[in-house]
Amino acid sequence: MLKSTGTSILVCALWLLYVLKCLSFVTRSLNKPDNTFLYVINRTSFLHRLIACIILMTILFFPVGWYGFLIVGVALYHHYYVSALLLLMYLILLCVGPALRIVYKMRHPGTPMYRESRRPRLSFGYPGVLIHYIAAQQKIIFITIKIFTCSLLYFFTRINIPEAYDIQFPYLFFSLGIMANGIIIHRIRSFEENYMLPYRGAPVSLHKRLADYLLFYLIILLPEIITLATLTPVHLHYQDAVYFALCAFGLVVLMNSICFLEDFTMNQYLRIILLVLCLQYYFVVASLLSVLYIIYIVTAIIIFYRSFNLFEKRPKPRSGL
Amino acid sequence: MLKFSKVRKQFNSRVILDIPTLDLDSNLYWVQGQNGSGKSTFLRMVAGIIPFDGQIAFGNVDSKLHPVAYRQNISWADAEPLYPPFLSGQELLEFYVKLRGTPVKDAQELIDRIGIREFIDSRTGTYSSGTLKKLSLLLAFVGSPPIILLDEPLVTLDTVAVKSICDIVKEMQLSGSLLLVSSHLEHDALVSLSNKRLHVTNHTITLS
Repeated sequence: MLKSTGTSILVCALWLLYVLKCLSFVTRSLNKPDNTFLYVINRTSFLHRLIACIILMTILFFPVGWYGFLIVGVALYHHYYVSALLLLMYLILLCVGPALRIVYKMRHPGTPMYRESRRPRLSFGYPGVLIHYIAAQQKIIFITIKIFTCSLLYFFTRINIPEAYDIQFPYLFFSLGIMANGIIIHRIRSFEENYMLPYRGAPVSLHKRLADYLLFYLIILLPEIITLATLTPVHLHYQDAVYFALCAFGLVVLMNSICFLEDFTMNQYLRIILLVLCLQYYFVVASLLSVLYIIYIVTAIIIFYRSFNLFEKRPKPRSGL
Repeated sequence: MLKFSKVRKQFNSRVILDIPTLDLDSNLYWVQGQNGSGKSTFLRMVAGIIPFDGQIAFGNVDSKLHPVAYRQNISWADAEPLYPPFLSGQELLEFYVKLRGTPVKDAQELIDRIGIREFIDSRTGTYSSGTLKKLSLLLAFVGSPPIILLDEPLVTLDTVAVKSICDIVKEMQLSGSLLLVSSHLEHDALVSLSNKRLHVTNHTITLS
């Protein structure tokens, strides 16, 4: 990392994404009615608030950032003083910058989350609403997941050479990345049940609703599809690339349908997705990707039609009660 | 006419509502009941938002056999409406009227009467709870569907808006719509317009 500028920029960008995610988590937590008591901290001095927020951000950043401090130590040991200084300043900035932002947010609790901005009025269907949601509220996690999935796909497929061509190993890691999309899918379903409830009672047929989901998830998978395209035909045969794309599409559509079976918590949901990934292992080992994507899509459609009208969001007990 | 037959709603094994039979003609009904009695659940069942056992039909259109045709006749305004905070009221209005096949221009008069013109192009994330309520009522009234379900419609509204909503409801009632309005307040302005009451007690609904 100390010698390669490209790797340094990539790692720093990933740290930044992580910190932005932490910042988003904190500000969302502060906006929750349950946490309004936290605003009592505004009675303390600015310095006290800032230190508290820096400690908070440092704790949140530590699971990822400890590696950065390790590199600073290594840089000093090898006499890369300028690199060490720059890296240390960057790490400090990653903790102090968001801390200042949190202090500001706490000082201005009435500030609306969405400021007025001039933008063209959009004409859209339901997939457009969901894309808006990701762009407005889930962009950091979305970008992180896409970088994760596309990187796994790219690096594990790049090792393929004509003499030792293998798709099983790259696919297993690729499907792991696709599974990460389940986090967004679960959040989308939660958003739909909380903010788009009138749409549930709207005069829209199940066919149209399913078609909207299929279109939306096709759009969501564009980064993976583009990555697949860049890997063909040298590292991935055309047919295998198509199977990869279809399996990814089938898996995300299935993950969406699973959300209609029951009002699962994120933990329950991820466990089910993990089980699906374990079950797919047989198909991957037996080189049956051509069958796997059909199973995914057919199962997803059956679950969707059977469960959509039976789904009901359960009232959850409030924490602390 | 809205017909209920052997309608039953339960969460897990707990019965929330059990309506053996109930027929409602076009009129304004006050859905009356204590907190937690099942008023909102009742309205959500009629709106087709939550599942239930039994049959609810509008005329000959069964809510389960012909859900699209049934829902075409119904609109619903939630007690505590939430909308995507990143969309403007106008965008939501266009989205929902397109689903119903109603021209957007039909909503222009309602926008003025409800008093939301000033905010309609702003994102709903900047709305107060009263303005959100007005938006939900606008979306419920637009297109004048035959059945309108209003869950606590006047809560958080200012006095000018309350008068406007009462006027609109009166007009809808005269035009032959079936309105179900829930409230647990005796002095609710809309309650005085209603001469029929639906009592939600003991897990069932009785008409008086």
